[in-house]
Amino acid sequence: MNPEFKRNLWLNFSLHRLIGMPAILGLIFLAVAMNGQANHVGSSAAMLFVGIVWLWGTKNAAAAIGDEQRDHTWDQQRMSALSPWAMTWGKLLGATLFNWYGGAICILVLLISDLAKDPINTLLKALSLIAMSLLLHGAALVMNLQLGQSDFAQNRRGSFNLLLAIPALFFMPSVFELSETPITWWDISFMPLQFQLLAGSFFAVCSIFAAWRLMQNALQVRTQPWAWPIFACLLTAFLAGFNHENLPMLGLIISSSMTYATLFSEPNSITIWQRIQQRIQAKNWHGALINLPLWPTTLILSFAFSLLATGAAPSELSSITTAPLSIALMLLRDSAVCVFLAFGPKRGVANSLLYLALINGLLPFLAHSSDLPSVAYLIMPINHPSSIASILISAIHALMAIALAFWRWQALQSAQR
Amino acid sequence: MIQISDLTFDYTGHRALNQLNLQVERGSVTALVGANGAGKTTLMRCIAGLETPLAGSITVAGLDVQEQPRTVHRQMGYLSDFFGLYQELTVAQCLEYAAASQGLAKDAIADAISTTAARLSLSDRLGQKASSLSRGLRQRVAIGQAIIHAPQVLLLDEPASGLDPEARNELAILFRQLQASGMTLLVSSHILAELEAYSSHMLVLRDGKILEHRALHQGLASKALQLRLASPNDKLIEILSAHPAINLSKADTLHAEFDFNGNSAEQARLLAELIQAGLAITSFGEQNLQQAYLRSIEGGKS
Repeated sequence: MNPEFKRNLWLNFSLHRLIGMPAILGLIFLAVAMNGQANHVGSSAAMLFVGIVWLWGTKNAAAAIGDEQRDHTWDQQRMSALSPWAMTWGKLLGATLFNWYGGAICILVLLISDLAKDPINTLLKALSLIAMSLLLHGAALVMNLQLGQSDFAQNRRGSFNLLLAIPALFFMPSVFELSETPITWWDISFMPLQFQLLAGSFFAVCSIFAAWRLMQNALQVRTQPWAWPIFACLLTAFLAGFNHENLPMLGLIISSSMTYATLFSEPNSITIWQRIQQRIQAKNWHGALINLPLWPTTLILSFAFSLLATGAAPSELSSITTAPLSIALMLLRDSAVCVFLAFGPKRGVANSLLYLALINGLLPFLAHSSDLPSVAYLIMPINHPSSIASILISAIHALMAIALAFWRWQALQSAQR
Repeated sequence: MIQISDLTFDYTGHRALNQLNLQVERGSVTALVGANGAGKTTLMRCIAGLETPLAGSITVAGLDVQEQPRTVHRQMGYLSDFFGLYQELTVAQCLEYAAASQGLAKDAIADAISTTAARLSLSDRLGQKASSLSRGLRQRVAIGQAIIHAPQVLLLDEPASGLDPEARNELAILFRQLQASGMTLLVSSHILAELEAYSSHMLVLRDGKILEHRALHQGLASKALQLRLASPNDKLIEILSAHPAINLSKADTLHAEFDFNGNSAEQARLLAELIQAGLAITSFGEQNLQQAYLRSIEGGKS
């Protein structure tokens, strides 16, 4: 048996818990049935599943990494002979095993209660619940493995797990309210539950794959950064299924968002870049790539999408800006600002968030509020009426930020010599 | 067993290891000493493959740590200074998990648990939860987890911190046993008297650089000796300086530290000669690790 799974089995199961879970669930279902709401036993089971497996299980999946780091057992695991895949599934299913035990009882009750009435929808609902659980648990592992590398303090990482409530809340209504309105995706019509099952399964596979990739890095099996930009493309293709009028612009928005996500969640200190420089100088391209942070990959992708979007036909999305290239250039500027701050002595992430909010939000807002549109366009050129001016000003912003980062890089390099 | 070339490791704004070159002999026990921030823990974590250095290479048992970290881990045990245990598992479960996760065959795990438990005097504690153990016993369980797969190299970062003298003595006995079984140990500690009980080599780090790396008991080669007189004698320095086998490193009218080229018999003759020369010697012998370390540090400063 997978040692990590077995260890979780030891920790999660006792005779008391083994008996307690079905006893409590049984009493709840009995109470619902005796209250004259026998028809609601199935929906109660689905609701309990959401509570036990989606919410509690996601918390446990997140703790599967966080607790190891907090309790100083993570190094022992990183030095173990377990393969990254064995460690991933050992944690994914092991840490949530007790939740799955309760969830299995809920699914059984749901099937017994509703299968005869509406077999297809009941089966789809049960499978959707399971797929969404795997998606949430996988995403919890991903988030905690990723944040484990960042300079976020251990006690602050927990609050990021609340972000996982977003997909949970997005999918939750369709589990309880069966809509008959079909969903059209890439001109194919799906029933809502059917679509939820397919989408949930696809993203569950993506999240488990991402957890495995991050586990590989944690266990010293270093990977090259190709999966992150591919996921950006897949996510673009998925969302474009609902509206593919301007796919490149959608791709630009997604890859830009993913660049920001990794900019704030990856270490970006000067030591990382010195390591890359050393490997490039030694012509060790593989070594340079495995040390490269993920954000440059989606930054490059953003430029590719911006060039495609520049030539694309106008659409609702393209009304955001007159020049998609200026979005990519401003993203480059923000990346360079983050790198500049990460090279500094203080906490880079907190400073980056503060300064980016200032230059992207507060200063342009103040300029607009003061009836100084020309100043506002100088600070935030994305909405400039002239495409050429927008691109030029954005390019100047980007060059200035790159020069700042380069200046600090050189200053630190010479200080260390 | 461990070969390090030009190892450099940077934290932001601080060079923790600066072009280290080092060779650790197979079967040796190397005491890794140095002030806080000297780079001891960083060096251990780099050898363990838990940190990626800026430059340089580390090989353990002929394997490159950066190229094949997972293969190296099978040859290596590591106890970090802030080790953790799974509080709710029993000692037997902790050891079983460590053995299984280190890839031991299923039918070898029971044997490995009983052998390791016996070695660490934990046989009667196997059913006890880790959370209920004393600090010393927890330390032993953590060491048990690090050695259960019989690694060739064992890295121990401050293994005796927080232990009582009796537990430290047991630890020293264990480390000597591990050395006798062919294991190579690299042990960092601030308690130099404890390291002296089992170390064969001393590696002094200062500001990320190697200040000294030498064998502690060198047989016929030079020995670091020290003597103390009952009362001050102005001739002490003169007498010692005149001796051809002595290289004086530190002396005043009451106390002297010096390197002596000679074996044990010659050392006994030297003592007789010094007494005959009229020196009222109250103590005479090899310098302990603490003195050797301080001497290295002073030498490094000058």
